[in-house]
Amino acid sequence: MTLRDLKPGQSGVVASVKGEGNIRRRVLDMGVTPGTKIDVIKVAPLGDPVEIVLRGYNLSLRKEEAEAIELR
Amino acid sequence: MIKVALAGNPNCGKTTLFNDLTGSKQHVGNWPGVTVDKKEGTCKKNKEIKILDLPGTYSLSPYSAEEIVAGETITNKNGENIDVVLNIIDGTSIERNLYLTLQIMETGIPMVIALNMMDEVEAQGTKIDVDKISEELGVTIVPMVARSGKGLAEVVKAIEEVAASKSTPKNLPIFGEIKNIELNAKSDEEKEEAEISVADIRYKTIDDIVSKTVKKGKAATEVKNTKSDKIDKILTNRFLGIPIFLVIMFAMYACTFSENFLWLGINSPGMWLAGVVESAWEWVVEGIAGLIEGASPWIYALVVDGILAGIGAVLGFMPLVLVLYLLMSFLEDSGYMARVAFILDRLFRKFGLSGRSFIPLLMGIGCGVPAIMATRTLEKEKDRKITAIITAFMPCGAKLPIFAMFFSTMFADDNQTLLNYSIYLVSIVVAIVVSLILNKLVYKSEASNFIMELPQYRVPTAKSVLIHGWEKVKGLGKKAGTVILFSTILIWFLSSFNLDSFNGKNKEANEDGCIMCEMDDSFLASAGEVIAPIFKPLGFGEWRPTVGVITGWIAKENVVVTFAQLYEEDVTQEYLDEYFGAMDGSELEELGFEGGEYDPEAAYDIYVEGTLFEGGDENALPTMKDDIKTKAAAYAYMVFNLLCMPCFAAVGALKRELKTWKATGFAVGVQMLTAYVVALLVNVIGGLL
Repeated sequence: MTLRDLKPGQSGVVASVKGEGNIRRRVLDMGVTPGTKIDVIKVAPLGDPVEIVLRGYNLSLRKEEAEAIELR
Repeated sequence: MIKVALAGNPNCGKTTLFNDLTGSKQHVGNWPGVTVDKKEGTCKKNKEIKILDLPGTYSLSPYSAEEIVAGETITNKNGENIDVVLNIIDGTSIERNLYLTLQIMETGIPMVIALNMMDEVEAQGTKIDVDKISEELGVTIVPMVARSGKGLAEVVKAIEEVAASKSTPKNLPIFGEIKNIELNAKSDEEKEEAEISVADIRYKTIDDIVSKTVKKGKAATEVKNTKSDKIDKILTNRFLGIPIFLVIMFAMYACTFSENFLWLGINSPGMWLAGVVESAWEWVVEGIAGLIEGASPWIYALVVDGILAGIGAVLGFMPLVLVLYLLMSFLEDSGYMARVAFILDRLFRKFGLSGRSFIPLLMGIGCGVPAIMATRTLEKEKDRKITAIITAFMPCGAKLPIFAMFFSTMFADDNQTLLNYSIYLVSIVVAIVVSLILNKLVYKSEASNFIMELPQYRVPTAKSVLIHGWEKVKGLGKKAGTVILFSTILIWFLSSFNLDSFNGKNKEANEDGCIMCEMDDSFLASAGEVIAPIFKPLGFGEWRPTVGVITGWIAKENVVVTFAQLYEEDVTQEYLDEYFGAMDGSELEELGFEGGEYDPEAAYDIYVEGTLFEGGDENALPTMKDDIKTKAAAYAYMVFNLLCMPCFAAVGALKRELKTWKATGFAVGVQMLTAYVVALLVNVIGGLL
């Protein structure tokens, strides 16, 4: 299961981060590391990107980027 | 002297702290080769401390231009010779902020931490054991509130102490571990693994420290219930988000450019201020003109039509830049700008742009100068560059008289509303296509992504909004001012002189002994003759339309003024007498004749700037049709002026945003090429219809 599969209101714990080099590094730098709990808050009005909360702050990312974040 | 680099995440109050520390004594330059501002200032409390504001970054990984600059400065690879790093962190999201802190610590440079937003931390009920964290990291930590300036004196004191002792942060055991992992990763696969491990190790260390030192309050642990989340429920709501955005954009546009503000029949603050500056400047110009009346005519013309007109062009844009920038800084500092990107990303990424590109593009319909300067608030360098280039395609206010003149004369029988819409459509379609092409061909290496923090909503401080606005105005004056002034004088020279100016022939021929000439004999006219054949395929390859294009670069409405001058046989006194003679008093008064009385002396100016600008005379400039014969050619000419190099003021703004002459030249080249290709298509396809 990946972060993309979560609906607003659901939450999950990160297992690993895949994806293209630069984008993966940015995701990791922003604190999406294995073991981190993520809450999905909402989807943007046009259906993408999504807003999540982790480590006490709000982050937005596109669905294709969310797909690279695998959950436990 | 102590040189301090100020480092921190975006949205953590870094700019506020920088303003607190340095006051208004700031110098804004740029980092070599990138469109990233480089701000330096002297500390108010201790003149020995120089502060360099690094771009806001989440990490030192070489990911964006901002991070490369920050990383190179902190590791002293770019010759800035930093003594101390002042790392500001947002206490409300301390974990993510400490990630950058650990990376700075790894470099072993002496540092001080300013723990900001302590008022919000307290309001959340969160307790942070500052001494304990300080001990864990081996770094002095000063709790503070940058917005109110609380803790500022302690920050300065801590910098002085660390600079004197040169004490470095604790060398945590994980630093050695990280180095080993990075050194041992050889293959691409191993490097990928290493990146995950390194980020993981850093965050594990942070989690460990935070669990020992921070007790999160109730408000900080409950998701979706902070004040910010409640505001967001409305502003990024599924159904309300986009309508609210459009209303805010409309309000911003109305405040800056509207001549009928909120339908009250008054000018908007921007236009009002522009009017005040314009009248004040006219008064100054009259004063100076009076002083040098006795001077020889060409000196008089140089000062009045060249230099003062050039300065006037810069001054005229300043109020618009100021007002638009005050509003933009407000939206930026409040946290709404990040939501704009969030709401519009889906739509704009299709065009290879960011959701924030919408703002400069929309403002470009008012005036390209503040709009181009507004591209600075875009997150990514690629987006900044592309948006700045395509913003110039917008049909700004000064281009409208060109369209009005052609619509009324060459397209008198066609649907005027549709024609007007068609211009907007052309500019939008061209902007999108050019953006896509630039994305594909020029900036293809830069992967697009949208991993962006949505900061807490905060009420911006008046001080920081004002400093932002003032910086922009100063930037336009200093950086763009010289470009505008120089080019205005150059075109003035070319349009007022010819070879006979310098061999005495003009002096003999002119009654007043002036060495200048009429525009149709000038260097510019000769240049027009030479250049004109290039425009043959576009349908307007004659010298007079060509000169119009060139004078349009001073200000786009000059195209119409120049046409009136060059087709002088069409705008004779007899014609004006007859044209206005057919009107009654109220019509004359509406056009600007005082008391509704026809005044032959005022007729020419009113005809050009009233009638022609508004497209009031269907039979205007009949001779023009000898040069621009078909509708296709006329439309091609309009499109060319719409898309080609913008006015010099906008080019000055482009230079300021793109930083280098090379990048500015590239931008203008793209605009010229686009204008030529699109106008060619219009003329060829239009000719077949």
